[in-house]
Amino acid sequence: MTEQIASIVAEEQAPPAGRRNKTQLKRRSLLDRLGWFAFILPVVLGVLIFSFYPMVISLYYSFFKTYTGTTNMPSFYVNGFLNFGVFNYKKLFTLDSEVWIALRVTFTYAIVVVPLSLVLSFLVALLLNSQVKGIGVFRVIYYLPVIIPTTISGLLWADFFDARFGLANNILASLRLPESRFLTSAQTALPTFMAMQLWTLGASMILWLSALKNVPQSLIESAKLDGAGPLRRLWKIIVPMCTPILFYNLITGIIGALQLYGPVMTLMGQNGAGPDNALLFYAYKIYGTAFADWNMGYACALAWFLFVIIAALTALIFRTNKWVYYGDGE
Amino acid sequence: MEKASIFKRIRKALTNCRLYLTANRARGLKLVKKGLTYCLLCLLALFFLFPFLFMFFKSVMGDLESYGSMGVHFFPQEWHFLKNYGAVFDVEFLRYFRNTLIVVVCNMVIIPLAACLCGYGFARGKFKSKGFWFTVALSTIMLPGAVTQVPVYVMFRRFGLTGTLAPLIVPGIFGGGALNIFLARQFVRSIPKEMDEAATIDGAGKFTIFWRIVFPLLKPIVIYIVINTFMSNWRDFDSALVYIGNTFSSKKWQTLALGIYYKFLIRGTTDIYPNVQMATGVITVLPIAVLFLVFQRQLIEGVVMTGLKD
Repeated sequence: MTEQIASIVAEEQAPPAGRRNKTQLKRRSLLDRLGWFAFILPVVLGVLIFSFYPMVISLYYSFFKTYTGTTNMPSFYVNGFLNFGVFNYKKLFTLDSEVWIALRVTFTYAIVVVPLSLVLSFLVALLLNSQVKGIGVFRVIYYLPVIIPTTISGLLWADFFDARFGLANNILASLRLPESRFLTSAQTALPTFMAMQLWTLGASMILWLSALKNVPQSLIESAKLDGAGPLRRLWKIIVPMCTPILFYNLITGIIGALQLYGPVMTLMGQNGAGPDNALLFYAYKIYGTAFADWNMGYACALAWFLFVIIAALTALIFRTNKWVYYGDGE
Repeated sequence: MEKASIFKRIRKALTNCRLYLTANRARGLKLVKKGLTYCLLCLLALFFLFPFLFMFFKSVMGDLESYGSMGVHFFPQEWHFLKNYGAVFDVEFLRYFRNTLIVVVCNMVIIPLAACLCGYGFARGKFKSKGFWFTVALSTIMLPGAVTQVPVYVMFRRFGLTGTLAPLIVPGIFGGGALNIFLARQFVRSIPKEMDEAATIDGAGKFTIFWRIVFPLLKPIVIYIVINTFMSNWRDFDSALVYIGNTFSSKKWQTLALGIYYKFLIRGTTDIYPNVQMATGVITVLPIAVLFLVFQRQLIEGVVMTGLKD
């Protein structure tokens, strides 16, 4: 009997699997390891070619001037290092007022749309979480507008919000509301663009739904027995348990807003910045600088400034994530 | 004595009645609640279907009606289905369509393969730098595209590849995207190790094991990646805009999303009525809408998986 126990104990005290693997690893030949490395070689090369190198070289480009015209490259090939300097950053911080307009537009958009769509998509998810028949059909329908391609949604909403012949003004008129100029006036362009985002609530709604499904039913039942009403259950149990998803959505929402240019361009057509730059998003400013003005150096400076902002924001959100619930003991 | 029993009876009947009423009221309330839920669900469904209905109804209107100069309608007064949808398929549209198809098909083959190879390497590989490279690969998701855009453009330009479809296909060869690799790795890890280890003893090489044994088992995740690749490449506007653009020589390589942008939204000399524009939109949305409806379960699960595990 005691021998048996001793043998079990001895077995348990044997070196853990990890250590055994390590000794095996030493014995393994170099060729074997290289063979394994070949499997991930594509992504290693991909990271180096399409992420690491461009990131570093982009910082380097940002200190150069580029020729205007369509055939240019960052021009140190032409002018040597003569035009190396911080002028791009000087322009960014002091001379170019469009940068601050773009930042204002982008942050206004992010600060309004991200929290609002989080709350609204949460409410929709709550509704979809109710146990009634055929709920799956509704879930699919609510998600459907998310898949509309950027170009098509631009085509669609530009027609709908057309100030003269659009259906939107028609609806307003039939509700006896004053007509709006929508995308053609500086005051209403951004709010109109924000309203369009209502139709893509489905994306975050899906994430909310899965978070709601992860809330253990037993917890809700026991809260019910303790006499907690539906609102109290929502606020004290469901919302705190959904915080990881809140956190994730918040980061991606802000970062997404800072990188948005396709939807504005397709909506506005030739006038991508909107009336009086009311829709001049920061990423659109970068796009225009790089591929319309062909000022690659300045575009890189703008992009690096954006990168710093995004990194700071992400760090800030990660720093203040004490209110995020990640499960017990994890 | 008699009186007391009568009182008792009445009281009993009353309580019974009250009990019955409250029970029924609860049932009634439940019904009302259910009805209200359905009403709300249907209203929201109409709201979310609105873009599709709007687009479809406009696509079958007559020329002037779709323009709205003679009164704006939501429902078409007259139907011109065949005429409008026939007008969609002109030479340009067919060219856009062909280009999009090339990009989509190439990526649908390349990306799942590349992602599964890398995912297999990350799941089963035995070498020291594995964890490091995995973290690095995943962290590229956080890297804003704007920072790398100009240098990558310059790189493609130096190779003479801008203005062609290559920049939309080549990056896929290098791993097929960090999220896909992550999904493939998770899936490989769920396959029992004994399966490929047994094959090693039989003397099969690593690639043979991957190709013959592991890859066929990855079918569910491969299907997800293929569908997702189709959807995202079909919809892609941003990178097509940057790498292809609208120069004289690059016009012939414009994809659907890009071509529609330059043809309808940056209006040229030919003015096309909104009905044909919307018909083009319907035709463009149709393939991905159908795919989404067929594979919605897998796609939504994938969104949740990549969203949650980030």
